[in-house]
Amino acid sequence: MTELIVALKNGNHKAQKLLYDTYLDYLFHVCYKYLKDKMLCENILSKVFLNIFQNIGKTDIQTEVVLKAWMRKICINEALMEIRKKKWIDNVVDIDNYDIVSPLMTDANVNNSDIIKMVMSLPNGYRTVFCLYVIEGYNHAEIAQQLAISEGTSKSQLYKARTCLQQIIKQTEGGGYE
Amino acid sequence: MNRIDDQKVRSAFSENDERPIVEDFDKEDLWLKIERNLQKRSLHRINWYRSAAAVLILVVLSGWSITLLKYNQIKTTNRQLMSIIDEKENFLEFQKKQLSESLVNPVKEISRAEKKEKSGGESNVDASILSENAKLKAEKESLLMTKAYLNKQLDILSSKNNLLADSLRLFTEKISKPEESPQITFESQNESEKKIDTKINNAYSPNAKAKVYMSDLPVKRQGRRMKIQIFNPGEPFRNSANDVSIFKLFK
Repeated sequence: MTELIVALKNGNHKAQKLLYDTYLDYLFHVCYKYLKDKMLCENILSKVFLNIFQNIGKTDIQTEVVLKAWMRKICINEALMEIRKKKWIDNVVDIDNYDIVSPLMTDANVNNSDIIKMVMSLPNGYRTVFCLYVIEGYNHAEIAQQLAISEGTSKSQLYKARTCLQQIIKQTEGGGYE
Repeated sequence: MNRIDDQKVRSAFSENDERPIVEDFDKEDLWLKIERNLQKRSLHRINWYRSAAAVLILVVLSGWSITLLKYNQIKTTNRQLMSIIDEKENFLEFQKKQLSESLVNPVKEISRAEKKEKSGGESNVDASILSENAKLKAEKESLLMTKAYLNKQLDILSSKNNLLADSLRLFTEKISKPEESPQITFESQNESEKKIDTKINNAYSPNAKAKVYMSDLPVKRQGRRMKIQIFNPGEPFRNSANDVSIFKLFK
């Protein structure tokens, strides 16, 4: 892997193809959960790979883990840039007590794919903030900075996302998820 | 009741990220697109480098040509300045020579200045020399005037003196010869008058004058009087004292 990184830093074409083949699926999933659009993901991924190939020589990456995390971050940044362009999230705070976090509860057995489906069924704004907060581990300040919104908006969006998920779970329990 | 916490959601998604793409996705097409973009960017970068290099070369060439032009201009002006400086130096040397000559021989300088004034040309001689020259001229003119006046006075005196001398001579001759007849006396008178006339004429002739003076005065003075004779050939000389004074004035 270190050889691959060295080859990538030297601009080796075969190494670039190998990296593409290895990490395309991973980066596609990372991108898709934010954009939920195959064509958009394609455009973003082309930008992401170009960015990786052109800037890897400037970094001091030496391990695969670091490389993977760096590529993921680039992918998320590109996706968020697209979201900013599309203005999916309105910068409005309409909830006062948004710090109350009620955990998602269900009587049914919910597997990972069900959870993914439930999250992916959320509206764009809710899903973006939820993914950034829960999956990527960003705090509200970071989310606000990345999406060019206020912290209050980020909190309200997360609150609404959780409420929405709870409703989805209830609906699933009542009539089945499918 | 099952609880779906954040950790469970996170693990579900991380697991999902590692799975292959389910959707209909043309990987090769995307790769070709990425390759094309890479080539475009590299070409763009090369073009950018080329254009920058061309601009740099143009700038350098233009700067070089400008500096060359300026260098040539400076060279020509320097040449002109050098020639001007040489001319100035030559002129200064000439002036220095003139000044040194004037300091060594101021009389020559004065005469030169006089000549220049006569010719009407503009003179570069110092004002002091000119003023001195003018003073000398004025003195010369005044001396000439006095000389002319004295000459006139001398003429008058010499003529009176001659008349007196003639009358005395006639009177003494008359006293010494009383027996002679009036005709004879008249004749003798006429002869004596003639003799006197001849004497006077001889005395007035330049040769006689020279004889008279040369016989009366010492040898040294004779030479001086000869000089006076040369300057004023028509003047009658009777009084030796006056004669000396004239000589002094002319000297």
